[in-house]
Amino acid sequence: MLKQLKSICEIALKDIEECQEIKQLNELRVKYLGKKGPIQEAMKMMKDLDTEARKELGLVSNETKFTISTAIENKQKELENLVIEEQLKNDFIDVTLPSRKRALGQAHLTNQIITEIEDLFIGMGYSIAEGPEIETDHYNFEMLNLPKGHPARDMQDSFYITEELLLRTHTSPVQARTMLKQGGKGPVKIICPGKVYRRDDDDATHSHQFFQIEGLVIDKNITMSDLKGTLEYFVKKIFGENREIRFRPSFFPFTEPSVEVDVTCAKCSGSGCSMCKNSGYIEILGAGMVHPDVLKMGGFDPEVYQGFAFGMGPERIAILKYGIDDIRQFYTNDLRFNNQFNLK
Amino acid sequence: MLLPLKWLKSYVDISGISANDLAKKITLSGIEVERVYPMSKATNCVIGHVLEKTKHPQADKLSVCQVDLGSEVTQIVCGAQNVDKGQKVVVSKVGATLPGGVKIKKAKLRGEESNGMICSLKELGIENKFIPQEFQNGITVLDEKAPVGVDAIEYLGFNDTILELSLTPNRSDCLSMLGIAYEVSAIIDKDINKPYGEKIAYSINPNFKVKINSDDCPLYYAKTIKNVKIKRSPEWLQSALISCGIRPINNVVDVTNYVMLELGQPLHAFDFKKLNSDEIIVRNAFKNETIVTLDNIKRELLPTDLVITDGKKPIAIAGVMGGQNTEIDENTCDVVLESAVFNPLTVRKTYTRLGLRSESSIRFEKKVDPERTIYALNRACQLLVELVDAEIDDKLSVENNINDKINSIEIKLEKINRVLGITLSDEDVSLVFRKLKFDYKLSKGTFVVIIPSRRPDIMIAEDLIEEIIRIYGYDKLNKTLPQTNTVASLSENQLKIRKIKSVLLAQGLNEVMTYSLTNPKYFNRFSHHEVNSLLPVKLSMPISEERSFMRPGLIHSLVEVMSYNNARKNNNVFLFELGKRYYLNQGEPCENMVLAGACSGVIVENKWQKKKEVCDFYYVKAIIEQVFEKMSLDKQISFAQADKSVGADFHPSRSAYILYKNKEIGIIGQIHPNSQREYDINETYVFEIILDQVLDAKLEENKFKAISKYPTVTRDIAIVVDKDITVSTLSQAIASKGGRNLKSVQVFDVYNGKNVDKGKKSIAFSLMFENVERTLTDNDVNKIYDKVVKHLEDSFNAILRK
Repeated sequence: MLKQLKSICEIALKDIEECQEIKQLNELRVKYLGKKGPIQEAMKMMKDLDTEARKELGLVSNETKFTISTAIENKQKELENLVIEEQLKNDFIDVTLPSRKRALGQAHLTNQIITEIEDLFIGMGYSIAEGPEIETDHYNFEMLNLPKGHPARDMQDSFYITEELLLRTHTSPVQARTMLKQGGKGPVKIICPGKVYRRDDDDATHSHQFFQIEGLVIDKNITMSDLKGTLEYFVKKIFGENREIRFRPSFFPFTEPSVEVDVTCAKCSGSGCSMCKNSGYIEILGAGMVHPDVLKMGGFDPEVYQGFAFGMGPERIAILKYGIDDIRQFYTNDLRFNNQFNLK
Repeated sequence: MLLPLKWLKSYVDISGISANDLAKKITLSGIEVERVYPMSKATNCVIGHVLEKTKHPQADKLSVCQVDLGSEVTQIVCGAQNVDKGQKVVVSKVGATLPGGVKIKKAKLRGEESNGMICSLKELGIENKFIPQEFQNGITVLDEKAPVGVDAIEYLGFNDTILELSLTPNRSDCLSMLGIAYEVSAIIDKDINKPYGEKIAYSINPNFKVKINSDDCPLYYAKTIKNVKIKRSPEWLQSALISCGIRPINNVVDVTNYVMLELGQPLHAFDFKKLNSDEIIVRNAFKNETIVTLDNIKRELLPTDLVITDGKKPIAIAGVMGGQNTEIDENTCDVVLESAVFNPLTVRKTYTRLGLRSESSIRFEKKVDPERTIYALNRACQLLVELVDAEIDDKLSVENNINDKINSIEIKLEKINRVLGITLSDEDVSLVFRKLKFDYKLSKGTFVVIIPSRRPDIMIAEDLIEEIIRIYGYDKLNKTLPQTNTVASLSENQLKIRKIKSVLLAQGLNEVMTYSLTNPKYFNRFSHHEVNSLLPVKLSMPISEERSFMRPGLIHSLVEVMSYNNARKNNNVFLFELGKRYYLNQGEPCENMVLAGACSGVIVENKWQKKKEVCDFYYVKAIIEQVFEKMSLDKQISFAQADKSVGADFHPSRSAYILYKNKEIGIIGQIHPNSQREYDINETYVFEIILDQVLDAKLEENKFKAISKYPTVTRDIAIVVDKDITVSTLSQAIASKGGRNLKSVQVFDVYNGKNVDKGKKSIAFSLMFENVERTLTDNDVNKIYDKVVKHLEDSFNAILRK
């Protein structure tokens, strides 16, 4: 009997080993471990044996049952794995096929530049001030030391609505408004981005509508060296660490002294080329120390307070940064143009 | 302003400095030099004497000339009609180069040898407008005294380098050679040679009187000059004018222009014989008075204009233009010469109104130096004596109402350093004042500086600080950051704008920027309730009709962008703009922040997978909902089917008003097929939202809500109702009876075909229930369900579908 069990076990293991399908394996399970299987048959015979022999047979048949069932379990796992593997093979996809992409939207280039500049100045403690685009002559000109009939008004030919109302020609009136709000108390540290309008015919270098960002800092100890340091930091952040600035005297009615600020040419780094007309520098913004009359009109005592102001054009910055050849592109909105730019 | 270096050299020593270096120094000290260029690039040109002229045997239009070039007599073939025997002419010799790169070679013209070219000034690089009328179509004939064989460029005074200056409006002092000489002398630290001496003594002319009857003329000098012979000016004078961009006319006019360029004081010459009196009266024009100016145009005058009169009629508009009635012509022999100061604002107003901006009016507008007025008159007389043997009456006619107040400014060294942020010494500052030729006194750190009358732009201490730093050098400023400590962040509104933008960008919309100014014919495009009643903002003097009004909305601009891109084969276009609209409210201008968008085409597509999603109303609606979700304002937003009053550009049954707290703030809809055709675009959905109320809304902080541990229960309801009952009405009705356990109501089917009566529709809702504290039983849910169904049946005649 024991011998018989042993040989059954060997045959069973061989059958299991050779088995190829789960269905077949299930049949083997019934055949060897089922109620009518050899092990069960052997167990049935136990009641006729003496204690010692019964014990031995019990032991051996249990062992045999365990061995076969373990073999079946293992085989089953093996066969199942084979099935899954086969299925996974069939699941193959070419990962290099194009994806199903929904395009991301793109911010307008001018706004990308404005946002970058805003964040830069917020980091230096500047707030962002805003004001109306339809302004009064008073805020747009008179508060900025440009009384009626002043020749410098020619520098900014304006779109008037009535004698007193016009489209602002710069964002400086926001500075005037902010100063008045302060009630003569410093510090003031703002930038004012926004749309401005000049009575110009549109061409490659002129636009009747464009953007400006002005900055204003007023406190008791603001110097022109502070202006230079601030603008140098700005230029290096926007145009690159290796760029240098220089101040060149200029004239604005609202600042004294007034300067044009040049940055070393991106193309030749200052040695002179066609882009910078051999000067090595490109003009990027105007700046100066706030004129005492402007401080006074804004409610600040020029004996106590001094300040600096600067104004720049984000479109001009973009033009210089990307070598754009026509300012009208900013307003045409050909998406092939708009979607080219992605600032850091 | 053009600066010929030869002229500059007569007042200040610039030897040893190249033109380009000088240009750079001038630029960095305050006056931008835009261009440096030679007056003429011609080389190897001499003065020739035409000895013989014969007709070319083979060509009618050519002449064969024998020309004495000093060193030789040679044959030159000339095509100009006006060439003639005996003329002194400019000859470019064989080997000469002319502007534009033309090289003169030995040549045979139709068989006749030609060794050079007889030139017009044009060929030497002089603009046609500077060439006398009689020579415009031929060669230029020189004065008969011109020395044969001499370098013609030198003789003509064209051997000069010119700097083109771009002056800022404050630097009127540099509208003269002498003024620029002062500037250059300060920059390169040199002395200056003034073209006139010290104070001039004069006596009053009893025979010719000057009278001022206006506050607009503080100073008027006149001199009478007899026996003038009008002719062309000598070459040096002509070339000096040409180098500064002024056309030579005749000796008298040229002298007035020369002195104006030299000293910055405009002069005017009247033909004495054409005056009706022995006096000049300066006064404001009468109402309805007219004058025919030198350009032969009759000008209507206003009492705000200042005129020069002979006591009866106006003979010039002061500082602007002379009258034709007293013009210098070839028969003039006696002249009245004017040198005066006029009110800058008066001159400006008049020339702007009449469109008569001239060299003279520019200078009066920007203030002339009253100290030079008399020197200018004397200098002109001196030149007229030299050039035309004129007889000058030494006596002067004058009225002087100028008070000779000395302008002095006090400034402390401490203030200079406080503004600049550097540490200059007394000596540093003193040196700058010496370079500028400003007289000053220094005591205990305070400078008292006398401002010369040539610098009216310097009025306050800060102006002096600018002078100091620009001459000392801006490169010597420190680079520091303000010591002011401030903290800053975006305002709530600015944050909201950025949030709105981030949603739109994430949704795939591209930001565009369009013009605020528009054509009034687009006013009624895409109008909706919000826009209908607005009064437009109109420019008083637009450049063109196209840009004459401020836009009352943004959709039209966006649709134009859509059209532009569609026309360039971009059919999937998703746009938005955040910008302002403008209108008048009871005469007051108003601006609102507006968000607008236009969407058309495929949202997402993968061709090989044959999967794609196309833009429709509900896609755009979702974008708007998400914008408000981002601001936690989605609960306040709803959509209401547009009624008949919606603008004709919207699809009447596919448009909706956007409501914020049940008040209309915008519109969303498909573009009407007619408008779509008109704009030549594909099927497009647009929206526009007035953001002001949204931006002003206080953002509420989100509070934490407990997440239920108990399972949710769902129940579906399918009903048939009248077609025109909206889903939002039904959803609200369900929610009103659902109690606190009803968490959401979602539509999952809308059907109105087979098996549903005409005029009806079938809608299926899925209701989800949940309780935070316990598991809901069937009984709990059934009770609510029954209540909801009953309400739908009672209120909407709904029939429950089983």
